[in-house]
Amino acid sequence: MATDSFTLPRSSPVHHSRRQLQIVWHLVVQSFNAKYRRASLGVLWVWAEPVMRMLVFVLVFEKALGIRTGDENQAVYLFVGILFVRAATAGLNTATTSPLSNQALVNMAGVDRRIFPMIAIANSFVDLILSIPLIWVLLVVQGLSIPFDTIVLTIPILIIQYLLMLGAGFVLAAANVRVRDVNLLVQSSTVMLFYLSPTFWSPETIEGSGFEWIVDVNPLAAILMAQRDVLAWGVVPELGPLLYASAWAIGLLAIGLPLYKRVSLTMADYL
Amino acid sequence: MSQPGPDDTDLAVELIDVHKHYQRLAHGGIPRLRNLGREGSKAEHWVINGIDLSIQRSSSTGIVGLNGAGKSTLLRLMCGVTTPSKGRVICHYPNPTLLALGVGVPQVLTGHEYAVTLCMLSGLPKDEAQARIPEIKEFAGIGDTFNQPVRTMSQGMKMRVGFAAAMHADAEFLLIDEVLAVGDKEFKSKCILALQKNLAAGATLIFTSHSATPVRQLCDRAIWIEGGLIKMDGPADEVMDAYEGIDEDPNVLVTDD
Repeated sequence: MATDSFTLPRSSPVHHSRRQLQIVWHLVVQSFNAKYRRASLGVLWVWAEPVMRMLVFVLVFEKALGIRTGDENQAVYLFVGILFVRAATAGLNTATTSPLSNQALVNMAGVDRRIFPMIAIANSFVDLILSIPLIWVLLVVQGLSIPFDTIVLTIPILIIQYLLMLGAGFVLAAANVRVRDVNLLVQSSTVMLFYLSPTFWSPETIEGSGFEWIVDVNPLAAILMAQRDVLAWGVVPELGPLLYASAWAIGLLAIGLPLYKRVSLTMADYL
Repeated sequence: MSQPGPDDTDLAVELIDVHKHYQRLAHGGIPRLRNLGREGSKAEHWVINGIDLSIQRSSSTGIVGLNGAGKSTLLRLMCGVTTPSKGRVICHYPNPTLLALGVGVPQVLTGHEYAVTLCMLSGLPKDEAQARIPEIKEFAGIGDTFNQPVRTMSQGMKMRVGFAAAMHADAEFLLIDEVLAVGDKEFKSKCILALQKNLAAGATLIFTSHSATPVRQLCDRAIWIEGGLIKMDGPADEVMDAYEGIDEDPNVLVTDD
């Protein structure tokens, strides 16, 4: 099937992008409202869920099993790890199924289907961004200072993370339209990603074990360490790992966008 | 509403030798590793078998045919919800609007949110879409249910919200698939009036129907589809006379494919 088998009048890329971004933002806000409006705690669940996870890790790993992350400020270390890896895994899972969960929109005319993974990843980022102030609350509770000098650096790192997740989301969503096993595979893989990323353990603890490559090859690990630096420790992160993560983001987008675009032409036939 | 599109043509949509098939999976539609690549694991079901067609801007066209004739697929092809397996479709409007009964509605949204979303997808900015909500709510005529989640609404109510939004979104190119069949008599009359108003303002309308009345009331042209091919294309009254003749034939078996 030729990709030009259906053509619409071309509007300017700026106009088209502005309109699509407006629609994406509108649907992200609607999705956020719909998610929390029927919960009695409402938007407080954005904070409750990662706090509960952190408490489980502190109680089980630190208090019961005596396992240390290798970092002095274990609670802060855990909390930042949980927030960012959770956003990544939730984003990847929902992006993978986003064409299926948006079947109603897939069957509407005039919808640019690239917006589904964009919205899915953005939804997980809304929860993440709303949770960031809790890191600072935790720092103050622990008697540490809020790193005002480096906080602004979180924005470019968030952008790299968003693009990385989006690239992967396009690839996975395209694959899942045709082969539904992909969703199940992603669910298992994201659990692995949670444990194989330095979420609750520090890279220093595996030095000399021969498994250092687990951190070196993982672009999410680079982002996670950089976010800990700027949001908790007040340190400017190393540029090398962030460039590595950016290269992954560009590579995945270069593969994912054209693949997803091709699949999206006949997406409605497979849902 | 009637300004020409960026490509400045008097055509709304063109179909050039359009064919469309769907894949039917064998083995109950469940793909298994052991069946991959095996002969006969997939079957092609051809729905559109070579259609050449041009629709003028600011015109109203009715598409009729028995169930399974390919009417809905034809509408979906015209607005890009799906693409041809062979041939080409050129839509000359940037924001076609499709209203169809089988099309799902995002269940978590309220009627209000659904209407705003539909208006935005038809090309309205969000603030403009919000400003039209009172008119849309009044047109839909479902009272406070308009502010309830769509999943709590009946099929007829969802259709009312969708139709009301489309009528107030300055939609230039409207494709309506069987939607007029479900409303009550009063709402149907309201819809016909609204469609006539949109047509007078320069919109292009294409709709499928099993009922001759709206086709005769609204359309200059009708196209009769059978087996994925055009059986007859001409003035609405002529085509409907011929179609109603076959529809009344007791030997014609009407089936859902």
